[in-house]
Amino acid sequence: MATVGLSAQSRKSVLITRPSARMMAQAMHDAASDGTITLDTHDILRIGVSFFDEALLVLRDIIQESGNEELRLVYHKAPTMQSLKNLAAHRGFVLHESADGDWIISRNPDGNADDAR
Amino acid sequence: MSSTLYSDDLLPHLKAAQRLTKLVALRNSSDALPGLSDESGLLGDEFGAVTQALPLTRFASVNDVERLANDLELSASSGSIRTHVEMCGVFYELALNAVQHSESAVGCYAIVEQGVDADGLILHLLGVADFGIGIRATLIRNPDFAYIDNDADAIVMAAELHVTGTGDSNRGLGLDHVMNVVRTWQCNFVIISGSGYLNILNGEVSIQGNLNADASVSGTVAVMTLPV
Repeated sequence: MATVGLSAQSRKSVLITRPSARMMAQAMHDAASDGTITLDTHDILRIGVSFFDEALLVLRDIIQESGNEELRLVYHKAPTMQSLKNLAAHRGFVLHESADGDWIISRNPDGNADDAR
Repeated sequence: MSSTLYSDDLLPHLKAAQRLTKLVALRNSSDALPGLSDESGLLGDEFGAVTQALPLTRFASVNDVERLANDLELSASSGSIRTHVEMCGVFYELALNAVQHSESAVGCYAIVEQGVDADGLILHLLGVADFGIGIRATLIRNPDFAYIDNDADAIVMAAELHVTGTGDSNRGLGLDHVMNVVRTWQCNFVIISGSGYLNILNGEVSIQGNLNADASVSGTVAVMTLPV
């Protein structure tokens, strides 16, 4: 399972902008080959709305380019803003929270992007 | 659409939004303003134990917002201040909107406070003011919204999903997210932009309208209170 260390990749402790998420795009592409992209939020104080949404768009792009509809995005040590879960649904993804608090995001087979909420 | 409001008629959160612009004016002026001081904040006299997680602070760039966010989160994680995670998320979105869209020539200002009312209710408050071109001027850059001819309608339209002046259909999500938080957490929320306003009461009741010239603001100012 390939892991993208958000702190190491960004050299930031708060990730709140879309450009910060785009900085992760190549590492996310590289991590996608085994079917799960894991984002490690260790040392990250906060994931913001714009970063979270743009990361979903990166995931959408990778799925479209690879054709792997089963690709998953996992936030290890999930950001704690419950309202972010709405964004995943909005972008056509389903989000499950594990017992350990990880957020596991995958394509919603029953919903299209932008009409899922 | 309600009738035009004058300064003396404003609801409490509209008054708080105006108070924020006056605090900024006070900060940038050598003249004293009646009843105001830089430390008096926005929550007002009814909250006896007001603390400022972020005193009135100027910011002008995305880097400034990231630095503010970093400082706020570090202070919260160390326990030196108390914040609400959803309110911080709203604060970062509003602050990013301000620096990315307002074209403010004088910079933007933010304040984050917490108070306890007489009933023991904890109230988190944030305020962001940008002194920029206003929401309507931003929106009508997108030809799809060129028909909007007043500030109040522009505010309401901007709160809709994917409504943006950028023309990028993937954008226009931030204020919609803010509204979701306001509804979910039963917040009070007000935006004044130019002479228009939108006021959400307890996450439910929505009031929009126009302000008289004595109550209008330069640019856009937003104030949210979140009860816990």
